[in-house]
Amino acid sequence: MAETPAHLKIKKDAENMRILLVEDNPDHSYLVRKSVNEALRSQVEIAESGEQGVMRLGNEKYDLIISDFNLPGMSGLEVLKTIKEMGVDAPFIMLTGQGDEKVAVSAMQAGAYNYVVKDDVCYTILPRVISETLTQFRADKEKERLEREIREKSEALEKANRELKKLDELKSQFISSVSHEFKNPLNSIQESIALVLDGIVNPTEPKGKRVMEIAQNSTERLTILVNDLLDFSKLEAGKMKMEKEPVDIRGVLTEALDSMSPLAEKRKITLTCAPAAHKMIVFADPMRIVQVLTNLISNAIKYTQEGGAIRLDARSEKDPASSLQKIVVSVKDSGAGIAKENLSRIFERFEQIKQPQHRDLPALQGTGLGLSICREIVQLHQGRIWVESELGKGSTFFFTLPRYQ
Amino acid sequence: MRKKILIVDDEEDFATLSALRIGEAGFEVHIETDGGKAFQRIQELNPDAVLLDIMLQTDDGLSLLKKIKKEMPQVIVIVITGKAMLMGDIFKMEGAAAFFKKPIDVKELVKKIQELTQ
Ligand SMILES: Nc1ncnc2c1ncn2[C@@H]1O[C@H](COP(=O)(O)OP(=O)(O)OP(=O)(O)O)[C@@H](O)[C@H]1O
Repeated sequence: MAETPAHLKIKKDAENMRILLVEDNPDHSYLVRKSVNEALRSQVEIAESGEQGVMRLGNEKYDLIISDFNLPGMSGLEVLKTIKEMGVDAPFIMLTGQGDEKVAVSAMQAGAYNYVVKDDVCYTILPRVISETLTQFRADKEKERLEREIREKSEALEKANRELKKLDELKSQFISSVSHEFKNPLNSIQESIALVLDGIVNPTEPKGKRVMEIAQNSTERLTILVNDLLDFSKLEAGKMKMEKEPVDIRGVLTEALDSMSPLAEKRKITLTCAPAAHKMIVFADPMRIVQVLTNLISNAIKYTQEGGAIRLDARSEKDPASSLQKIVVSVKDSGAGIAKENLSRIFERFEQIKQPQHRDLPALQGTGLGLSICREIVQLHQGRIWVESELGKGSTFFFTLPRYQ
Repeated sequence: MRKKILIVDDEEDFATLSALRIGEAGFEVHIETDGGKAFQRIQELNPDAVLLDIMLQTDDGLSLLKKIKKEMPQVIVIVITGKAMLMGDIFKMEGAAAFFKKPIDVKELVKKIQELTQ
């Protein structure tokens, strides 16, 4: 298809406009209307005074305003100034008398887009002036929009940059705190061995036994740290593969429950699971889901006082968005709870929110990676993980898994 | 008479291990893992020296240090911290006799205790 010539295009753009003409002289109005109607097929409405024009512009939207300068009451310049203050956003063309350059200049200064000197030919050139004005106006608007967009984009970039910097800081903090986390248990192991080698304690006697237990706890703790770090780096590199298979979630819950029961018992916390009577088959990597569950349960134990309770549950639900069935697994504790402002942060990498916890079970201390690993694993199952919590009352962690169809 | 040492640290494992070696060096060692009870314990025991973990969870270690130095200035306080960021100078200014950063070489710690309690 041949391209439309530029001047026709401009005209096309100026067609079907709604134009307001402020003009007290009916002869002039007639001429303007006629020429605009013919050339631009646009509708011209007439206000017979400046006051009337302002009123109309207050109530209705026009694409363009043409106003005579010499009006009986309010002058064209006053009309222009008033509607600018009102925030009317349409280009304004001033009609001035011959030899009235001063008027034209002050109109342009007040924000008019164009002016036309009233003479015999003015009605013939008016359509062109109108379409040029509209083109200019639109170009200006587009420029403004682009500028705004650029501003917004660069703000977004700056924000992203700040966030990256923060992540970088968190990472350095994390590395220093992790090396610390490694040093302490290592130190305990060394000291335990030294106590035995130096003959200060004897492993066959109660004191020596206690020392060996401490060494054992410390090795357990190191194992957890190393595993967390390995998982984390695998996830970061996108190298963790999920070995998904159809599996009954009830079996997965039971396995997690069995492995965490001793720890819960030690802290005198009741850990229960009331599995549904029917099978609930999910498509998931059972080992990884057990890992998510043990992580959530160990957190729950960590932040729950003696005598508290932790409850595991799984229920089937229809996803309102996809109308597919999914399984919602939950771990509910009666523990410390999480402050509202921290609810979304706790799933982030490296984020550890300091709060009183029980340090007498060293196997529970972690890196602050636990929940972010859980989130990654759940996401690799196209699931979602979230928490509902009230300070002092307890927390419930939920995650979803796709139901095997 | 054996000199009395009180370890105030809520990390029980670490306290236990250091207590054994310090005890072996001829001191009478006590452990307090509850920061909230620490000051009362110090008043009851009137130890020669206190090993104070400044990162206690139940109580602020720094204010505990100030309180000890104000009310029982004769007690030698050795500050221990797990936080690398904290400066030893601050604790010395507040009257701590020595400052150790975890992980601690317990043998060094014993030497320091011996030196300070002589
Ligand atoms: N059940 C819970 N009750 C209260 N707070 C919790 C609970 N689970 C997690 N949190 C909060 O969320 C934070 C992040 O948890 P996350 O599991 O990622 O790290 P962590 O518990 O410090 O270490 P770990 O790597 O051993 O899990 C914790 O520091 C804690 O403040």
